[in-house]
Amino acid sequence: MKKLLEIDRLKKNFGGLSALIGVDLLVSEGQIKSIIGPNGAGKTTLFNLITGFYRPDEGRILFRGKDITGLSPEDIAFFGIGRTFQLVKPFLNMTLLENVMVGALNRTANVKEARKRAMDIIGFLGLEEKVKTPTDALTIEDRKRLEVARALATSPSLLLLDEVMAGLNPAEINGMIELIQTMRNGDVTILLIEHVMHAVLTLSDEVVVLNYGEKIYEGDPKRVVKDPKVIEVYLGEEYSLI
Amino acid sequence: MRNRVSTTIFFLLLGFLFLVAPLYVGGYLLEILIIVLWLGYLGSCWNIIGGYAGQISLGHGTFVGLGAYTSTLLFSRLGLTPWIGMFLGAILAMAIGLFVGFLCFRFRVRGAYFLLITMAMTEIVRLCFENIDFFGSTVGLFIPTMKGPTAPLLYQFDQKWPFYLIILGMTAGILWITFLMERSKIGFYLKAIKGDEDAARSLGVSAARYKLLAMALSSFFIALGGTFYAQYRMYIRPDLVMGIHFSVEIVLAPIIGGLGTLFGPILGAFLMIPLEELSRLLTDFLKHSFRMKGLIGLHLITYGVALILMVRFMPYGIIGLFQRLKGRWAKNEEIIRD
Repeated sequence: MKKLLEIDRLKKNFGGLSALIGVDLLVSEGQIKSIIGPNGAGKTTLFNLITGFYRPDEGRILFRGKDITGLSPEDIAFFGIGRTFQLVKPFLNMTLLENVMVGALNRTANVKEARKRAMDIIGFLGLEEKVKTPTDALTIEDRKRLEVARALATSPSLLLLDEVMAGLNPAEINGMIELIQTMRNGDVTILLIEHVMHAVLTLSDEVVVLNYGEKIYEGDPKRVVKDPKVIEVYLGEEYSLI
Repeated sequence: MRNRVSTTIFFLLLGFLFLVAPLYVGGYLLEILIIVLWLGYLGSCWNIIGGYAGQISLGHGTFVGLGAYTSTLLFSRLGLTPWIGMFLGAILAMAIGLFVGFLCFRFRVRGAYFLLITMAMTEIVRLCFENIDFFGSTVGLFIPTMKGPTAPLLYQFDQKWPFYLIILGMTAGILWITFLMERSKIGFYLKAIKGDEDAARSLGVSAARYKLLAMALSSFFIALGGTFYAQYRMYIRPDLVMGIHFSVEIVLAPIIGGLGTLFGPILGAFLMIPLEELSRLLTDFLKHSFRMKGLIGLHLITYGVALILMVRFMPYGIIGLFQRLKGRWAKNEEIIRD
């Protein structure tokens, strides 16, 4: 498989706090890879570093073999890395359609074209009926879907999903799982942060476990639930029985 | 389709009415119309950066002042016609706007801090102009009056209606530009920046670049309004065309009308100025009919109270109120249909 994203000994400190201490990561084209770990493990920090919102203190990030370390978020989006935010950030001053159109304008300056592409993606996410709903009247599920739709509209080759299942009920989670699988089949590589283990185990080709800014496990999702260290720091005894 | 046709007809009719207005109204009423349109124009220019991009600037008086002073000084010292001088003033204003904007946006100065910096800028510039004799200091500058047939070439008219037509044209122009912007990538990106800058950047929006573009457009066009004021009044003074007080006045119309909407600033100006005049009339009436004394400034109090009430009951401006009523109406219709 071709390497899409390579992360090389990435370090980030916030004052005296070490958020990441030399993390390596490899994402291959067509993969679904999950990052799990307890709160404060550095998962979201890693996303912010990849997408240019933070600058790493040390280490390099390569995307398609090109060094993108320290580039601005907008340039990274243009290169083809999309992301969602854990706390959804809809543009409340715009309709749902306009929200998605902003993403679609990443690839075209033509508003008509962007509207068409946005409508396609809205259809793909099953949000057609909400097109005219004021953004602040959307349910949590729809907001999460909007967040994905917007990022997907930028035509990314790598999509970073930050806890898109949080706050959803089991039925909604299954819907989201299905959606992510369809996206992967549509040539989008996916890196996701998730706490919903059912989703992680169903979706992932590979799992990475972070703890206190350190990678403590990387590999097969079936074996992660049996790894004693992972059980100790994150999963707890319950999952060791599976 | 039918909707679009009727909208076009409506605006053509409205434009025609405005165009022929000087034939029917004159004197005091025309004066008010000119000031309303002027404030509407300034508000529309400010709206590009303040309303659409959501970067609330309290320094736009500076740009108006730079426009007014540049064209006036170029005319009175070098004899250059303000028709050309106004563009030089606009370029200077744009340069200052880009400079301040670059510093703010490069270092991610947002929200209240951006507001404070623009406020400081306008006060610094006002104080400079008030204390340097070359700029006329606190006395201000008079524009030498020219008589004869060449006066119009020097942006001078002895009647009000040419000024009315000029400001009408300028207002129509800025509305057209805003209209085009709203429907282009720029408009979408500015709104996204206002909605959430981080989310916008994650979608590929170069926030700093687009904010600078909005600042450039806004400061360039608003400066043209400064030259208009100078030529209309034939007199400028720092506290009339720059400084914090005047800058706040520019911002009021867009806020009252509806931030980041095409017609908001114009509607706001049409509500604001008559309200100001009305509170003045009311005060005069009280003063004369009841022989009340010590009422100086009462019109400012009534005006202030009216503004507070408007912001309380129309937090999203006149346009926001319309939209809410429209929404309620649509909902009622739905209920009836069900």
